[in-house]
Amino acid sequence: MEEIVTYIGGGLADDKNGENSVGFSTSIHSNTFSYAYKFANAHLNGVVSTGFMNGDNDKVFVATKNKALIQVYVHGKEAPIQKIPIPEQLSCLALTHHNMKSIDQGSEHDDTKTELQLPWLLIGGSITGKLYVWEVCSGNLLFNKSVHYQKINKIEFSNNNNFLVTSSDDSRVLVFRVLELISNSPTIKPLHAITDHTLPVTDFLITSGINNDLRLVTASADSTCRVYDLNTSKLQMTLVSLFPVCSIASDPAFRTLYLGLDNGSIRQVNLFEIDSTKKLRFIGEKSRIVTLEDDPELKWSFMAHQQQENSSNTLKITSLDVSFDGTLLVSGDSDGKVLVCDIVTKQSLKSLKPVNGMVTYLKISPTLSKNFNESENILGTKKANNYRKVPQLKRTLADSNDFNNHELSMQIPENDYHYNILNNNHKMDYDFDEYLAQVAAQESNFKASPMNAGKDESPQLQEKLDKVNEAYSELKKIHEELFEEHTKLVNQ
Amino acid sequence: MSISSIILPGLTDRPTSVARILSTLKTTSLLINSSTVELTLLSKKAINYVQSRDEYLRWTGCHLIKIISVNPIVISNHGADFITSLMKLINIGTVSQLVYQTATNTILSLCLIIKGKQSLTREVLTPNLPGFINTLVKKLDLKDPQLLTNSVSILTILIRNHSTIFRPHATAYESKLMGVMKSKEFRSWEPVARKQIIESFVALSLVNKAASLQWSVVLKSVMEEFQSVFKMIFQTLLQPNEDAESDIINLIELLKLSLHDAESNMHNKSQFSLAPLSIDLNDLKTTGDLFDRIALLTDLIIGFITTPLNDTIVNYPIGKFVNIGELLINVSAQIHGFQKDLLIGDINLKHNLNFTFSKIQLQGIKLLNQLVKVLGKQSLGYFEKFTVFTELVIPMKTISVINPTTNKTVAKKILDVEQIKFHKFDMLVLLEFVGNLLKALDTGNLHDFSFILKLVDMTSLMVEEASYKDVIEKTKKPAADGSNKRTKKSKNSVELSDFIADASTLKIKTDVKLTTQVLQFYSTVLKNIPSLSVTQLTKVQHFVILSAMRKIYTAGNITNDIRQVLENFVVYQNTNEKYNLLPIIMNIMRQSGDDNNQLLSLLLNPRFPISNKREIEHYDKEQDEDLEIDECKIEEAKKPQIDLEELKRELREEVTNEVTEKLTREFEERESKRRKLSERLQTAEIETNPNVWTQQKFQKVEISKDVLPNDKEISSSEQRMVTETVVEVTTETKKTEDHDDENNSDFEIPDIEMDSSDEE
Repeated sequence: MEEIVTYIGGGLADDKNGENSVGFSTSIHSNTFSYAYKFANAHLNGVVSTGFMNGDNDKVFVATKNKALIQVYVHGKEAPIQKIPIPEQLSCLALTHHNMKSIDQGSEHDDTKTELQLPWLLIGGSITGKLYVWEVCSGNLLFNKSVHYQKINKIEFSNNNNFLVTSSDDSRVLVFRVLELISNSPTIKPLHAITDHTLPVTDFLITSGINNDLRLVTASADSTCRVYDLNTSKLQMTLVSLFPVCSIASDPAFRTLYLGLDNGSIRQVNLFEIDSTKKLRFIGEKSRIVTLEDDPELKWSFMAHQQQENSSNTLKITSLDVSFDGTLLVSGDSDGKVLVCDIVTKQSLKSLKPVNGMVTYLKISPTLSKNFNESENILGTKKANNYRKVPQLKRTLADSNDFNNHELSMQIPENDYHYNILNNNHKMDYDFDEYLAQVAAQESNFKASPMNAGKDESPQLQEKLDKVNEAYSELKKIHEELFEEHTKLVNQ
Repeated sequence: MSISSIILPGLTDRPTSVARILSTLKTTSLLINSSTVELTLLSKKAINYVQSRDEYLRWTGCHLIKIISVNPIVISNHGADFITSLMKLINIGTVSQLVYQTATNTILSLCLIIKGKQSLTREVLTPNLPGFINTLVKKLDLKDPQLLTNSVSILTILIRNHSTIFRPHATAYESKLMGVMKSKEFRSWEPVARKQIIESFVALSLVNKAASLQWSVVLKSVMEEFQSVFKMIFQTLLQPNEDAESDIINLIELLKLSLHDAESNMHNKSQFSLAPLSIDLNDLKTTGDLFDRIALLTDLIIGFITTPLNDTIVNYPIGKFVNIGELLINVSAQIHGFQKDLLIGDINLKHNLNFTFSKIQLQGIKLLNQLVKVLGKQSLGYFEKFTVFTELVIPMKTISVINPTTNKTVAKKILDVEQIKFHKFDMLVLLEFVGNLLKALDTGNLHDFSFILKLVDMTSLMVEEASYKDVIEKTKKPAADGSNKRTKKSKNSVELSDFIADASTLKIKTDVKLTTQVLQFYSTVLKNIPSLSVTQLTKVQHFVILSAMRKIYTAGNITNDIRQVLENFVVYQNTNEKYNLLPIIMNIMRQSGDDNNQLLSLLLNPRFPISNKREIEHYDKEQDEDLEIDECKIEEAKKPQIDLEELKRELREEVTNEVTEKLTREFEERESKRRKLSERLQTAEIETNPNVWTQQKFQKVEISKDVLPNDKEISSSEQRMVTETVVEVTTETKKTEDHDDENNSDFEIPDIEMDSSDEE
């Protein structure tokens, strides 16, 4: 398995067309340089990637800075394969998938296709605070409304796709029900509006788990991080930092938070601490406000960005992500530098190729391919050159007529039933015991049938046959003798 | 060990255990490690068997080829011979059905193995495959469904994998399939067989170069068939009211799939058409034809919804599919009412049509269920429609009740218990549909779930235990005059009193399939509706706990479905739950022998996520040190109590003052000495060179707080603190003209020793 980090910058101020802006996807473990995305610059969180697990169907969507345009990239092609015009300039993007395995209860075969090759919804947040919801397979615009007063900084779906959370410069965080957003209803209100922060909400994250256990962690320029129950929006804990928090990431098991700070350092906050009885205790258990103390010994701080050469005075950590095993922290700063740090030693292991402008998007994605730069994808099939294009995103809101003529441009997915039907004759490959039982049953049928039984088990019939044979040979002998006599007579 | 020592001795003129030989070949490494000579011998033996006249040997040969052709050496050396001999075998007219089936399956296996190997495909597959397809298509026999479905499944795989080679045979195959689907026997076949045939028909679009267009064209023709059936139903049987009529007409018109020009041209070439449907209302049997037609068309649409077409991207008309579902659900006399000139007093026709319509409604649910299964969340845009459809399908009846406040009679809709019990098995598709919808929706996304409450009530009626006793009592008609006179005992009838006395013998057992589906539905409901109302929640709890206890009583354990619901009770706790079920559930688990249930154990013994190993170790070490300190502290605690913090602060102030005083004193001493020294130097220099003089300026740097160590250091070692406290004294020397290089350097304060020596 390999882990790939995709990161894209915000571009330089004087490069309005993004000609010098290049984003990259590269391994965080090995030194193989892999994919580049030219002309890719975006606002903070203005990029989404579908990852590296679906072969040719994986795409990167970039909401271009300074233009009302979404550029679509595929891994392996530097130039965008598609440029989709949109109603206005977007500041952030989010994607969600169908999660059809929840219906099929998981596939028993690895190679069955349970996805529709294109994501389900593409959400965009504009610099004016408008929220756009598009259905990717049809391009229909399902929702379009101003929800924030200022620029939307981040949009994210909860793991089960039930909730959509948006944060903005207006210091508010809104939680929407996804079902309501796509229902074509004229009156849609957020489920929760969180207004505890006093300055722009810069980043947030949603934990995974069942619906009742979902938590929302928000980070703000007011130097606080707040933990909420996503279902009730009840505040569970407040972390007070020494500096404004620009970005946030968490350990995959939500044991530790990593706060990217305004001074160029990253602060590690362990959410569980060991008490006197050697048991783990949640830090927000006793007091709901936890103030982070200064860390002069740098026990809980990553200073790698500050220690870099030519780092600017206004250095900020803009993007963070944690590796699959939770041991590496990848961070991007406002100078465009991307570093891979070991979480235990807090030391920088690797510095990746920098981007122009601040790092606006950074995401680690796993892939099964040993060398993802090869011409083969993870399923072992050769890469196709005819990429699956995204339908044009509509500019006007879908109406009832659009729903009546609603068409999805898609591949019909394969499920276990089709897999079994198609491989019926290869049953022995996946269920040899069943195949063998079938063969044994057929064999016993053969042995029991009278035609075959006669050969082995009926001596009477055999005796009769022998007698007939004997009589025949006797008759033949007589016939031959008669024929000989006849020949003699004719000759005479 | 080799093939010649293990396998070949068993392959006699009449092998005794073919299954054992095949198992040995497949499960051991014999095929991989054997020499080419041995493999050739084995291959020749298999071919000889296939060419034999004995059916058993032919069958053995087919299976042997299937197993050994996995080896690349065998397939490259003998692949052509295998296919040739097998082709000869299937073309023999007298070959038995089993051997024919086995041989065709083996050929298909060879085709799939050869696929992708270029030279083998060119040499072996391309010449033989058309003949194979031709034979299969020719031998499709409607009279033998089993053989037919086997051949159809093979042909479907060939369509998907070798669509170009299949192209010349497509028309013949399509007409055969159409013939099968149009036949009357088709409806009586097993659902799986029907599904295979329909999917093969849909997959035929792949044969066309423009597969996506062909798919749309065939779908359009099926929809047109649907349109004509709906027109017939809503014009001759049902009478929608004025408001609904225009909606229904609009919906029927919307079924027309708009095609592009290229598709329209293709549409003229290829069409799916069925014979016109004729229904004679005087002949009740013909209403069955109406249902059969709709069931066939629904199955065909489901085929289009579910059949994957390799990598072909189609324009999937989800809106039209939902419209068909909506129209099917609207086929109900309770929604629209019968035509006025129909059923004049014919109660049998009315019942018959009602029965047919309720079956047609469920066909609509079946179609939508497949749509939700395929599209998952993508179908959630229609969620509101789906909830309305569900409510329309739940059997309801209107009763009149007197409103106690106004004393007026009002109409009230309640569940139609009779209809629910009558159609309880048909209703399972509705449960499956709602279950899949909830799964697509996922937990907590729903705030209006009134239709779920009705469904829970409906399911509780479906699984309600019935007894023949009730049925008998119900069917007993009271005497005409109302008196309870004893009727004369018929000599031919059996007295039921014995059965009634022992009621347990008259219980109608709830079907296992029904119970399982209901439990699965409850499991989904509990997971997705966290605030189910108390009445429905109690019904669910009652049923699940009773089912679990009965299962424990009869089998000693509980099924996975019951376990799942019980776990969901605990994990997805309902907000309206008055009494916690955990004790009951734990008891059930214990009695079913599942008291070490991992999930419940974790719930009862909660623990936080394990920290990183290194951190734990680190903490452990620190903890040990802390413990030692703690022990010391305990001993110290026995001594008189002293405020440590206060002590530290005092000590620090004391030390700071001392240090400051000491340093100031030293500094003053040094300065006085310096003055003396400079005066002496000045006087000496003036004496030698009156033009040269030096001015020295001393600057004192105050002791900053940063330089001071922190509390810990002070408390731990005073000595260390003192040595760390440094007074920096810098000197600036202003020089006049003619000074040399040495005078450039800063002036250093002479050591005290030096001063003392000077004094001396």
